[in-house]
Amino acid sequence: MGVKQLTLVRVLAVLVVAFGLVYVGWRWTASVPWAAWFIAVPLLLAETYSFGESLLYALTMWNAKRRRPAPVAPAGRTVDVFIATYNEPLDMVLNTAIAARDMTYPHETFILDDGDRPEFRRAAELVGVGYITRGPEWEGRQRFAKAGNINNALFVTSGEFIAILDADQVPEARFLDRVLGYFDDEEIAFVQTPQQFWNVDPRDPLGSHADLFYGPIQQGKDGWGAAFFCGSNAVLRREALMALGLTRFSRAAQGRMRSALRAGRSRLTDLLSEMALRDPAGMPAVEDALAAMGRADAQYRTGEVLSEITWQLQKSFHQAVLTHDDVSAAVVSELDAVLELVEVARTDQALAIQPLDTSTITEDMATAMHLHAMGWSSAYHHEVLVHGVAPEDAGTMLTQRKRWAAGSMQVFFSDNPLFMRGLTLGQRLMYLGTMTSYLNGFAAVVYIAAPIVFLTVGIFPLKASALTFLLYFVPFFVCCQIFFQVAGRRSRGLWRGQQMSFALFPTWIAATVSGFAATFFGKHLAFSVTSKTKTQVGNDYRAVAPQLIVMGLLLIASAIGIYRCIVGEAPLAATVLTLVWVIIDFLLLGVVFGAARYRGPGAGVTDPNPPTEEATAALAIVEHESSAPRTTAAEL
Amino acid sequence: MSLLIPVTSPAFPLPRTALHYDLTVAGDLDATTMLGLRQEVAHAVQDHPAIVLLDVSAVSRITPSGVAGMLDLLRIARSAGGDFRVYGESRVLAGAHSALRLTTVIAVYPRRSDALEAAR
Repeated sequence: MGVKQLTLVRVLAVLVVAFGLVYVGWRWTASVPWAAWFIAVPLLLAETYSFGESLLYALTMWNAKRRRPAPVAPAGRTVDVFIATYNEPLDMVLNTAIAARDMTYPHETFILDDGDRPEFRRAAELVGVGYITRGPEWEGRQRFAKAGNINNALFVTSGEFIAILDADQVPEARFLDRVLGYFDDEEIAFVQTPQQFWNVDPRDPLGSHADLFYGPIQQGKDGWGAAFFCGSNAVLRREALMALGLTRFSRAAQGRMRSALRAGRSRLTDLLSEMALRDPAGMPAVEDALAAMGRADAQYRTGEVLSEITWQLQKSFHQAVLTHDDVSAAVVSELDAVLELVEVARTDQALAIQPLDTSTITEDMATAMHLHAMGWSSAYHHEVLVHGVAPEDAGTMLTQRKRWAAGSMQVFFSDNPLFMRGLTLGQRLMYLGTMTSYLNGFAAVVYIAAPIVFLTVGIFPLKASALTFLLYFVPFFVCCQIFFQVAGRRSRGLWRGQQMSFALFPTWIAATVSGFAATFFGKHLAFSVTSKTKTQVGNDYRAVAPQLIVMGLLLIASAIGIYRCIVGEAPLAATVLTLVWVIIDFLLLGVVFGAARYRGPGAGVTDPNPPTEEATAALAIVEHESSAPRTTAAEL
Repeated sequence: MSLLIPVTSPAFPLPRTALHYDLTVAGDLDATTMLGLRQEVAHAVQDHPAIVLLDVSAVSRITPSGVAGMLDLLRIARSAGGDFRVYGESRVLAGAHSALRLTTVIAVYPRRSDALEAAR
């Protein structure tokens, strides 16, 4: 953002806040029909929330940072490039792997195959890149989806820097050269570059273009020292990640052991009670183990080194099992489970340390936030260096957005940036702005319900004349729109973004509920990998059924409202005002029609990185080798 | 994975004559060093529980990857019913442990004999 534009943005930001304060102040103090509180109060809260979001957006834009080009990447840095895959097709992964391999800065490339597919291993070998999959230590253990996949690779590689690419994100040859220079600053933990999708129709029915986010918003966050890590197209400093993992590990270790000792004792006490009836012969061993737990508890209270406590405990349990006869396998298994629960070295997991955050399905945002809280900084490099693939149908897009939103809300509830130690005020607000944007789903429901209530039963959620309302509202609304346009200048899809933010209200609400349930009720949040290939061939109106129902309700309500106005049951001004409101709702919700009908880009949109001859040849070899044994068997 | 099986002796989980492996690291204790150590520890405890002893007295620089790697070596050894012990006077390791608040999590013994005795 240039100086002139930034000045204009700041002037507009001040106007937005000023007009917003006047409007919201008026709404709270002079326009609430308290008799109709059931709709008036939700509307008031929704409007206050929207003003809060405008405020956070204005704050983001206030500090938009246009970085100078990074220093030239110095020679001699060691870089590992990770291509994370789970179920993407081989041709796609291979294309990315070859482009990654061919990046000019010296590095090593690895395919991180969480699908453990032999043909991927073979293809990696053919094109000369590394192949990493999970080892046996992960069997029966929590896998932590993509974060677990990358953490696993971190412990079997050694490059100073890690470039992370999703399977469909094809890098340009200069990618590393352009960003490695930032790491001259030893405080930089990661550099994020934009995500750009080539397979998007010019109309962008699914709102895939993220020019606003990977532009003014990231630049704004960068200005506040809070550029986000977005999971792909980024380079990270290994030691920053490891330091983060260690810090989290050591912070949690004491508390974890205290609660594990308590839980273990309770578990063994329960076991003893059960055994009194069904397995009395095994009781002495469990009693010995329980006594050992008591000693461990005492050691813990006196501040003994945790690894020593658990080692002593392991020895005591061994002895308890060995010095008593008739200890059943079930009891041994139970003792084993208690030991694992307590063991400070995390033998209950495949890795002792989890550098990338594993507590949420949006590991990128959580990791970045914790790194910032530790005092690391980050950079947003505003140059498209990687070209990826966006969802091509509404269902896949909604799944992807729900995962982002649910993960963000999970972090909001469990690791709220307002209360996290170490973040600056600016960083707190930047994270808060992104997380709370998903609460817009609830506001949208109110913005849909309020006109329906008035048009059908005549209860108006405002106590003011239409003219007074317009006098307060229009300056704020117009300023917001101008500010949005000016701040997002040169960004594609501004209107589409507004539509999506409103129309995907069922997704945002479902995601918020999921994030809440995961945090407070321990409900599992599944990491659904975004399909990189089309999963829907025809129209997908089912995916947007809630929006269609809501539009139907708005239509019916409008018809009733017009009738009531004609017969004199409803005031004209309020009815007209409300119908304009309905039209705006329709304009926003209307995006779902295009989304439901979308079947991918037309023939005019072509892949800028078509498969190379090398990729085609490797695929042919893999295919041939895979089919060869079957042919032989058939011939036999 | 069981911490109690295989059981090696009726008297001690690891008899005084249990196998132990000595490893030494000098210079940098970082991600690259850890790659080698990880393989050696995994190999040492592959068939039976064993005590792995790591001498860090000649370590001149340690990175977070080195510290994280050591904790993972502890996990690998203990997952197999064995143990991993670190010994040797190392100011850099002591500094790193202190900075990362790991002094109460994992012990570093002054001498090899202390480390071995504590494991038994």
